[in-house]
Amino acid sequence: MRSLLMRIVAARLVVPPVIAACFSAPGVVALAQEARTVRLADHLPADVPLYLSIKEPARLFLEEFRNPVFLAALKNIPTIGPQLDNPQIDQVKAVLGALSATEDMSWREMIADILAGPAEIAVAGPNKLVAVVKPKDVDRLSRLHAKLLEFMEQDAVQKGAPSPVKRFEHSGVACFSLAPNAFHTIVDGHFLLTSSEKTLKNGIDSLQGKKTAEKSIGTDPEFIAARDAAKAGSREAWAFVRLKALREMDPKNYAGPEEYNPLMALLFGGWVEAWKKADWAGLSLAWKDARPSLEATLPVSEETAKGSIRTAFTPPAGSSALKPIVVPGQLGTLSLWRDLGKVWNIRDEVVAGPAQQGLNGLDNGIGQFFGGRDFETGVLGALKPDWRLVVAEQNPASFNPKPDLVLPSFALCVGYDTKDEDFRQRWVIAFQSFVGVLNVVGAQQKAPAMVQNQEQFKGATIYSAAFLPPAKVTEVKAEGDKAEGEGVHIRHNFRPSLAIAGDKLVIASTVEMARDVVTSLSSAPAADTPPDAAFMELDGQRIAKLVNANRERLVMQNMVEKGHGRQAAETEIGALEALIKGLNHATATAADTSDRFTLRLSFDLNPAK
Amino acid sequence: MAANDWLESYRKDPKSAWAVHEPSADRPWNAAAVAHLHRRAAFGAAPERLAADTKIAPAEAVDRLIAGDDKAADGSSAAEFAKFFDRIESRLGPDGPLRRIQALWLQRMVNTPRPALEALTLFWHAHFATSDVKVQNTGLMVAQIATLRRNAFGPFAAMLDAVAKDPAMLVWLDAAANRRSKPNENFAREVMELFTLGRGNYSEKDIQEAARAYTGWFVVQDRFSFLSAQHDTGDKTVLGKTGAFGGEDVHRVLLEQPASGLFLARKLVRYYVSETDAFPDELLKPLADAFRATGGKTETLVRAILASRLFHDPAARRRRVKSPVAYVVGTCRMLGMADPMPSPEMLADATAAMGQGLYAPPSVAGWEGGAAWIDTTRLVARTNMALGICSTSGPLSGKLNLENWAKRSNVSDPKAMADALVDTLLADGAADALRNEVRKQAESSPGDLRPVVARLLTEPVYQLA
Repeated sequence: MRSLLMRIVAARLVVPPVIAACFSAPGVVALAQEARTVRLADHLPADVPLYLSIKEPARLFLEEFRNPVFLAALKNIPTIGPQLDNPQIDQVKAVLGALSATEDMSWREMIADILAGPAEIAVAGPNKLVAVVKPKDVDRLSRLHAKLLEFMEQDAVQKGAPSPVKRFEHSGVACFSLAPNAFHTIVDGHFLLTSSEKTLKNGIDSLQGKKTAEKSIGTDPEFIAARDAAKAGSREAWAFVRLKALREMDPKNYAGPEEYNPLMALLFGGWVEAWKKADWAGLSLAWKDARPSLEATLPVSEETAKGSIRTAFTPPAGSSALKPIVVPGQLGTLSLWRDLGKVWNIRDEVVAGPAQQGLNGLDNGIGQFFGGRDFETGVLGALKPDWRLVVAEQNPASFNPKPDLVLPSFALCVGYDTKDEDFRQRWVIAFQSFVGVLNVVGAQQKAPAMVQNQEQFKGATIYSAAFLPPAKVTEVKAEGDKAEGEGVHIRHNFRPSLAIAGDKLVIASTVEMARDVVTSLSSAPAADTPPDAAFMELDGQRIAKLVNANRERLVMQNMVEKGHGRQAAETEIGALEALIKGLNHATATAADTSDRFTLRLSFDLNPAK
Repeated sequence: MAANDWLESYRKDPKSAWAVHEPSADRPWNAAAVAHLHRRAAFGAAPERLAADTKIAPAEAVDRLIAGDDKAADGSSAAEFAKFFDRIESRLGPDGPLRRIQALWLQRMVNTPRPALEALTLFWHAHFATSDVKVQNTGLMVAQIATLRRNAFGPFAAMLDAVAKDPAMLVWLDAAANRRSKPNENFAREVMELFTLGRGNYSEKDIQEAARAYTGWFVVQDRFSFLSAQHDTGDKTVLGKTGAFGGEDVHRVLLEQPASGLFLARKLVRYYVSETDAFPDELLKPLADAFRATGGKTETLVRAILASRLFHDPAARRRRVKSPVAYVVGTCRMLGMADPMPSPEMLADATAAMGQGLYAPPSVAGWEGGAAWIDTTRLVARTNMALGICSTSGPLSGKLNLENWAKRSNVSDPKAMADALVDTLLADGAADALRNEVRKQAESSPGDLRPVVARLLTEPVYQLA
């Protein structure tokens, strides 16, 4: 066993597999931890690019991170996934077991003891790392540490090899190094790990109060602002990132892409602008009862806020997205405050290249559908900034006929100025013209025509169109006639509709969806609105069902895009499906004000009831 | 030396040309001979397959190729593999992207346990050339290739019946509505000229009469439909035969013509043996006779050609330019890049840039082939593809695993590895000087032999089959 331990330590594989082993360990370890004030931050230079604080690392690693859905997500990350399947994990568990046996405890109890926390980690640059962890019982840690060194040195003696343990002393504190870039000690009740000897010595001095930074990151106003912005009470971990420093170190990865998908740019360009211009970011993680939530905060400088992009995208004070629409069989819903008239005005600043030319072409052409109105001011400008999108499963009973491939239905809902009667009429005419154009194009392609319809539903007027069902060949069949093959076209998923419900326009892919949205609008209390610029909600179970229904297509896509064989592609899509299925429920909200942008992601990883 | 010199003795004794090849001292059954068979009939093979086939007789190797292997590269059974691809292709529907069906077929070719079937299906795709550029329906295109694959080795009569009723073909030849009052002569003409007889073997009157036989053939909602009310039930006289013919009856009449056997034999010999030589009727007659005697089964023709003395004549080697698809698929198969393979969609783009977009032949006559494959633009596209798969970055990179390939080839040192690569990719086409240069290149950079592979893939001799 000692020899095995030595081999693994010598291979410097201890830390990643230990963490991976924690993720895959059975059972639950409950820990109690007394609160402790942050210390490392008070001793770090103010310009440290990355700082991370974890309140109870053992609880996070040994309890929450072992959630099967989270593990599935990790397995999908190329740099982490293979580590989780590393066969050496079992060997490491065996070694940890041998070590923990010397204290008459299990290896999980040992890890829980060592990583009780809190822990603080700082990265000052490439290969410049400092980490401080407070164990539950420092005496036990010292004994385990001594036993580990003893194992390693005895193993070296048996092999006639030099000792792998380098020992030195600083300010009366015993220091150790087991690898060229790993130096550690146990000081002042803490385990201190650094990537250089000099940093270790500085760390000892700081923790002993012999050396204080003139200006530490802990007193930096930006750091304090970021820390205060995070929800201190519930956070498990919190990180402060100096984006400016990261951009200077690695512009390729942190400067942000130069070109964006035009739709994404038009919808979320203001957020991208905040990311590109922010000096720092605060990230906090709360995680309890399989419900992780991540919050990211970006500051917006006065100069950035006054820029044309942020001005166009940021809601004025008191404005927010409306309550999201809820329909039966819902897969996802999005509610977004966005003044598209203003955004369209600055489109040349957020979209570049051929996409920009395409948008300009749209600007010139689409107004024709609206009686020659100017697209920016007469069409987009006449719409209110309350955009809502909903996607849902289709009811099988609504098909005539049922297509071979069933797609979800969707609807877009937006307010308009009811005083502008011409605008309402223009929408009706535009919809009917659109269907007419589709019929002309369809006739050229020998596709069936669409028949238009109009109905009153719960006070709303719904204009809809549906493809004629395929004429059965038997209708033209005479004696001796025969037909070969079968199949119903994907087009029969669509029954495009326009609903005008009070001051709302609803554009839906099916008339059934239009009715559901009208129903939702009539029952939604207007006052109950989230104080955010955007809100999104996803139902993992239903989306997983959709992935499953399209599994073969996704496998095929994986194969032709990545060159995977069938099995590899099926494994990858299977992992994706399992991940989504495990993601019972997810929400994302974005709060966007003139001085700050905050994005919150919340997940419920509990099994669906 | 005239191009036809090597055929001189076969012309004098056509039967000996198509006799089963028996290895001899001057025509040994060695790795080079096996590589020739695989290049022509199955895009090329990995070293372990070449080694295995040298241990069996040539005719047996041909039988194995035609029958295919039991398992695909992904471990699934041949039947399961085919079923899976058939299913996912058919699921794409009429509006699937052309690039995607191209990619799927390339992936099938690279991974299939029946590469000879796919190579022959590719032949039929050029013979019954139909393009999605006009058909505009990927579902119909996929269904057509499935028809070609299903009938590839079978009776040609069944193939002709199936293709003539294929919706993609009917749309392609403007024959989706063949009315009694206005018979579509274009379709009847193409059936005679391109599919069965060739020019000079029928008259305009034969075309007009045959066109009447096809009346009532329609494509309704993407399906073949026979509308009896639109069918001309009167007597027709085609190539001297008279009757109340329907389309299938016309096919029987056409295939009874001696010209049809010669027509098909010539096209297959050109595909498998040489596209630079002329094959007179008398040389092809034994093949055509055997074809007709066995009920017009294509497998008879293919087997006879691939097992023949003429095919295995060393002079027959490298008398064809590899088509872009053969170049790409063969490279992947020979280098063991099957699972995973370079992105099939990127490879589809590459073959199109080289001049052969699957499902999109340029005309009813298919691809010109031969020297037309290697004009300056297309040769650059081949070089780009070769460099792409040997590169460390880019969309085609990352799938060439020479360490695995060396293990499968049972070689370890750089020199042996260089020899194995030359033997697999170029076989006896490599001159000694080239082989020595490649060895030196491998020994100078033993840690990374990808530049060696890139060099071999861009050698002029590698462009030849």
